Formats: sequence, structure tokens, C-alpha cells
Amino acid sequence: MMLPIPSVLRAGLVTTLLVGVSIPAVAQPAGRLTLADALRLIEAARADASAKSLRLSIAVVDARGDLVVIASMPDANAATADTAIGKAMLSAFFGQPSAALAPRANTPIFQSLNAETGGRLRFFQGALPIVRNGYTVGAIGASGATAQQDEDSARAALTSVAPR
Amino acid sequence: MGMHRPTGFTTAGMALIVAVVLGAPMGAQQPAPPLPTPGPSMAEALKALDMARAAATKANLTLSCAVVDSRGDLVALTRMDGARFFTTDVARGKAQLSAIFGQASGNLAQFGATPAFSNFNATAQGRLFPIQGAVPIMRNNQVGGAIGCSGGTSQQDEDAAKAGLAGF
Repeated sequence: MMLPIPSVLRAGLVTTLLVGVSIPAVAQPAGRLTLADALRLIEAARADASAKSLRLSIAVVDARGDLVVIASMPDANAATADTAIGKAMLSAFFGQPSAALAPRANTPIFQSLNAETGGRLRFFQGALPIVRNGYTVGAIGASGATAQQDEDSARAALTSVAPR
Repeated sequence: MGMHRPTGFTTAGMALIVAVVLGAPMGAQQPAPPLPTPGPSMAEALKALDMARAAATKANLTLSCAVVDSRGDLVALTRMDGARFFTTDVARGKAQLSAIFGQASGNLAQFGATPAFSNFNATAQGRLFPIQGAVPIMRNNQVGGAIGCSGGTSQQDEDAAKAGLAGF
């Protein structure tokens, strides 16, 4: 039995179903960020930082802000690992660059959020969300140079690994 | 002809001159003081984590593994797809403890029940985990760091960590 819908819409529906085979299923619109994805991003960020003689720690977290990979380049300051993680968590929570969120660090809601995560968030520039098909699947954060340089290396990784 | 010395040229003064004159070359010939053991580099750490992951995959496990330097500071950590989120903190905490004491974290399980451990853990902001699963990385008989895993049984964690040790 055909549904009582106009043929134009019916054709559109069929087209959608056919095309749907080749695009990701609706239930998993963006897929999960895998460890392999994260390691590629880390390597790309490391290469960028290395070319600029920077010594960074680079972290990749998933959409929930949970750590997937952290790696510190030789001679990176010991404190930079947790800073990279904290920036990336912040960026993943909101799906925004940490730089855009940093000015709100002292608002009550951000303070509560930071307490909720055990004070791990870092309100600094240097982390960017990893976006796939319009969905935030994680974030990459760097720490160890100026905030702008941190962000530049994170962006370089995103551009070279997952062109948008 | 005997050595002619100006008046007041004491033995101590002569010793000083000898020391100054000979100081530079002698210092160069003496063995240099031992440098601090270099910690694992990022490349070494990631390679070791690769090996630990390979062992975990072989054993059908999903683990988080962490490499820390001799001070217990994080060098690299990877969480395998499907490993639970809190395994990152546990892997790191085991490795940190192992590096600080230069022992397998499993050897420190009893110590973990003592008040002294509570003090250590408070100093480390409560990060330490006195559970089997991490082993120290020894270099030139010094502790260069540690590698620890979490996500399986304690023994499986330690087995994967030991597989990672081969990467150093």
C-alpha cells in the first residue's frame, strides 16, 4: 500500500533512503572519536610544534571530555600535561574554542562546572573542538608555548588530519 | 740550581697555584658527575604504549596505559577504544606511584593500607593508586620512569605494562 503522500515527496523519500546508504547512519551521525584518530591528531600537532621549535603537551579528549591521549614532547614543562587536558575538556564540554570560553572563567556556572570536574578545567586559549558532520566528537588542546601558539598547533592538527 | 722562591711564598699558596693551573685539564679528565637519568621521550613513550596496547589486544582487553617520568609526571597516556573513562586516572596513578618508589605498584599494595601512604597520597593530590599494574622503567640502575595500565585484572594490567617496558 502506498502512503497518501505526493509523488514528489515520495521520490524525495526514496532518494533520501538511497543516499542514506552512503552517509553515516542517523543513530551515529558523527561516529566516535577513536584512539587512532586521536593519535593522528597528536602526531600532526607534534610535527607542527616541532617545526616551530615549541615544546608542547598535546591532549585529545572525547566528546564527554574524557581523556583519550596525552603526550608531552621532550622538555615540555611538567605542568603542561594537565593544562592541555584541562583546556581540551573545557573545549569539548561546550564545543567551542577554549579561547571563547576563557573570559567566562569567573562566572558562577563555570566555577561550579570546574568544581564538578575536580578542578581540572583550565580557562585558557589553546584548545579547539573536533567537529564531524556538525557534531562535536572531542577536542584537542595544547599547552607549553604562548596561548596563541598552543591554539595554532591544535588548529594545524585539525586542518591536516580532518579537513572540514 | 735549587728552586728560588720569593719570601712568603707558602706551601698553601703553591698548592693553590698548582690547583688553578692544573684545575682545568684535571677537571676535564675526571669522570663527569652522573647526569640525571633522562626520562622517557614522547616517541619512546608512545612506542611503549603501542607495545602495551598490542599485548592488550592479543589478550582481548581494552586498557588505558600511562608512561610517567622519574618524578611521576605524565609523559604519555592512551585510552583504547572501549576502555572505561576512569581507567586513565587509575593507570596514571599506578604509574606515578611506581615511579616515585621505583617498584612495581603491586609490591606497594600493603603499604597502601598504612597512614604513611595516606600522607604520600595527600601530597600527590590523591592521585596515587596502590594497586598492581605498573612497573618502573630502569635505566643505568636508576628509575627513569614507570609504565602502568588499567582496565583488566591487576595481573593483566601488569602483564600489558611489562610488554610496554620492552619499548625502552
